[in-house]
Parts: sequence; C-alpha cells; structure tokens
Amino acid sequence: MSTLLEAPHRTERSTPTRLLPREPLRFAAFARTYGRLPVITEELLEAVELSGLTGRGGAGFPTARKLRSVRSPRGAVVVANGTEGEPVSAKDRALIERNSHLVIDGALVAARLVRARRIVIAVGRAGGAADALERALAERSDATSVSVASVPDRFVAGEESALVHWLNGGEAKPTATPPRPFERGVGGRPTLVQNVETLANLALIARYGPDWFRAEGTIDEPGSVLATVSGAVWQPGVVEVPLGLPMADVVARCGGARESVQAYLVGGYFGSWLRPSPDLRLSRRSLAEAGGSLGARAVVALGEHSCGVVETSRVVTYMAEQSAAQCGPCLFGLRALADCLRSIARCGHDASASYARLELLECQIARRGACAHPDGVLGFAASATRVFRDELARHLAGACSALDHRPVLPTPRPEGSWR
Amino acid sequence: MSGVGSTEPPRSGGAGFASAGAGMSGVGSTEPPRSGGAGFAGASAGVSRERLAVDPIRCDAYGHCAELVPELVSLDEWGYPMIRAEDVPAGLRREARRAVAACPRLALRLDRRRR
Repeated sequence: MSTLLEAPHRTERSTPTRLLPREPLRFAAFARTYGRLPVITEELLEAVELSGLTGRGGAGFPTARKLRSVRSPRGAVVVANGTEGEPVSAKDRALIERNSHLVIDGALVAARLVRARRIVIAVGRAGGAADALERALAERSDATSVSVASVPDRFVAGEESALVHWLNGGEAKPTATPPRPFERGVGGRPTLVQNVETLANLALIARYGPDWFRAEGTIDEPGSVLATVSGAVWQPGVVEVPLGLPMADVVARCGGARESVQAYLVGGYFGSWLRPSPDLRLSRRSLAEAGGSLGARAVVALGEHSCGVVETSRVVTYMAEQSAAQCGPCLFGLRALADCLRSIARCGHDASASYARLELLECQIARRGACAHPDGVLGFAASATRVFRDELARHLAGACSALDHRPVLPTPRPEGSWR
Repeated sequence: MSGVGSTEPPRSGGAGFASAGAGMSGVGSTEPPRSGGAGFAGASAGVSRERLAVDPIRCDAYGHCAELVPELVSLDEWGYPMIRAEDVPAGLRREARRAVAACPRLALRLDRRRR
C-alpha cells in the first residue's frame, strides 16, 4: 500500500528530491527509499492521466495519451531515451547515474502498460550512464527484458526517428515520417520512445499515485523536473525543482549568479534567449508568455560581460555542423546562417549585408527539414536578434562591447561515427 | 511568406529575424522570395484537393519539378524546391503529375488532402 507518508523526502517541501538522490542509489538503498513497485494493472493509465504527467524530454506531450497510442496486441517495444545530445543538458545522465533503478522501474512499468516484451535503454557513449545501468541491471532479477544501447554522441541522434533507425541497424539520423515510431518502430513494431525522466516519474506515480505527484508544481503543470543550470552561476549542475519555480530561485538553488545576468538561454540550442524578469518561471506557460519554451529545462545564465551575439554565432556554427546533412535546406541553410552570424559576430565590413540576409535565409530554412533541427536552430538564432538587439546594432556599427570573450556555451567536437 | 512550402507559420512564431530589423537604422531588409507570382485568385474553382509535397531527405536538388510546374514550385538559392502551400488547381493537375513522375529521386509526391 502506498501512502503519502511512505513517499521519499516529503519533509523538505522546498527542495524536492523525488528523482535525484545526492549519491548513486544501489538496489538495497533504492528499495528502502522508494519501497516495492506495486503490481501494474491497466488502472494505472487512469492514474497517469490524472497525474498530468507530460514528457520530460522537451516536447511535453501528455504521457497517458502517448502510452495509449502505442498499446498493441502485436507486442510493442519500449525505448527509454537517455541519449541527451544537447550539450547544455546533463540531467538524463545525472538521473541515470544516481537513480538507475528508478529509470529501470519506469521502463518496466511502461512495458506493462503498452504490453511490450522488449525494453531498450538508450544512452550516449560519453560518460558513465551505460556502466551505471549495466551495474544496476546486474543487481536485480526482474529486468531480463531490458538491454542497454550506447548511441553515437550526436545532437540529432536522440531524435526519436533517428534513434529508432539506429536501433534497427541504420545510421543515427532522422528519417522521413510517417510512419512515426508509435506506428512502426524498432523491428517494425509499435514503439514507445519515452525520455528516462518521464519514465522515472511513471515509476513514482505507480507507487504513490496521482495526488502525491500533483503536490509539487502548479495545477496546470504538476510535478518536479530536473533542470541543468550552467553559465554565470556559482554551482552549475543538475537540480530538481518544482515546475513553476521563479527563475531567480532556480539560479539561487545553484549558488546564485556570479555576475549580473543579461539573458537566460532556456531550452538548450533549440531554445530561446530570454531577458531576466521577475515574472520568468520555469514553466511551459511562463516561458511561452516570454516568447520561449521550456524544452528539457536546460538553463544557461549569460553574464553581463559576455557577448550574446558571439555566443549565438558559435552555437549556430556548431549546430550547422551537427546537421545530419540529409536535407538541403538544413545542410546549406544552416551553414549560410552560421556564415552570416559569424560575420556579424566579427563586426566585419560585411556585417550589415549579413544581417540583411537573415530574413531571406529564414524563409528558405523554416519548416523545410525532415526533423526539427533547422527550425530549432532558426528559433534560437531569431531569439538572439530580439534579446541582443542593442549589442547587434553595435556589432553592425563595427564594435563588440563585451569585456569577457571566454566561451560560455559548450560546442563539443562531434563524434566521427553515425553508427 | 507564401513561397516557403509551409502550411503554418514558422515555429519562431512570426517573431523571427524580420521583427529584429524593424526600427534598426542602417539595416536593409530583403523581401522574402515569392514563387509563381501572386495570381492565384481564381484557383479556388475546381480545386483538386491535392497538394505537392517533397521528401526533403530524398530530394537532391535536380530541379525538374520547378521546370515543369513553376507556378507551384520555385527553387531556393541552393536549388531545392520550395512548394507553394496551396492545393493544386485543376488547370495544373497534369503538370503536377508530370513533375511527380519526372523526379529522379522519387522525392516529389501528391498528397490527397483530407477535409
């Protein structure tokens, strides 16, 4: 019997640690902390719906609806997506490394609900996620249907059609849709691709119920989420926060700001630059009102001495290189966009001509890729032209005003292989 | 933005680069390309409820489609087709089918529109 009292860490209302323990939990400690997983019946679908859980990978699709779409008499496949190709997000890795068993539990629960016999937990190759999962799987006997897959560390490799294509033996590149994975995915079977943090929440709802889940977050957006906070904060890292927490409090959980923050990048490299405001909260609604999106809760604070124009041009250059090079408008369009932004970042004589070209490039890129990559980058770049408007004007006039040119946003070297 | 083959506005919500240019002195703005002219007022009569669509992964910028139905397809600066976001008018049905058949990459198709 699960009751509210049994739920872990309920005493610290202000700092929920439902998902993310301080230290990695081995199976015995995990079982003590969370209790046993109850028998899963179809009624759980109802509870998931009542909980209001949405996908934690970035798109935010209602989980109950997704689970219902995959249920199949033919035998489905569950893919737990922990690939996290986003350079400013580390929350899936942190979750897997510290709470592997909760992720495994969630995958088992999802498999029950969609009647899947095969479960794959997909993680990136860098870091210790695969090892942590293998170690955890060796500690329990109820997860023989679970395997671990190490996916190429590419930005687009975790996109669900790319992931399915790779699991089917192809390159980790997005494919044309339809069919979507829930119709025909791994091995041709209906496939549930669900972020590992979503699955961890599913394992909690199975134990403690929808009311417990809703005790954190807001009425519209219940639950707690993992956020990766970096940039001009004293203690960058992954924190668990209730949805709806003011951005200032999110930063405070990470030791506070090191310098005055001129802008936040929220939602990673598909996300948006946003100006700091007391109204800004970590919720879908608040961020949408501010012209941004929640994404996978990656937050980068840009200090006042850095240059948003230069940062944006570096990231767009990186994202152009991360194109799977399958669609012309993505391959050539993002390259051209990066060229323009670099010229503006350099304050070159051609900066104004490059700026004038942005609009033309936008209409040649927008909505013309097979996946969200080109549109995601476009939205990110467009947000920079809004938020760093004054600095942009200074660049066009020939001078960057930033004092600190050390790179803030990471642009890792791409891995060679797509397989 | 009629010429970019989209059924909806771009995800950047219309607040793209265009809005950044407004009011910034000394910055020229470029008109987005418009394919096939603006003369589609009469196209609503006899609409076939079919629409040209391209699989961007298959497409390799041969450009035959833009040669065969320039009224519906224009090419971007890299030679990839931008398809007008509207149904194929009855008068262009044959040309549209010919373009689909002529695509060496089998990337062009006619989608039947559900209403």
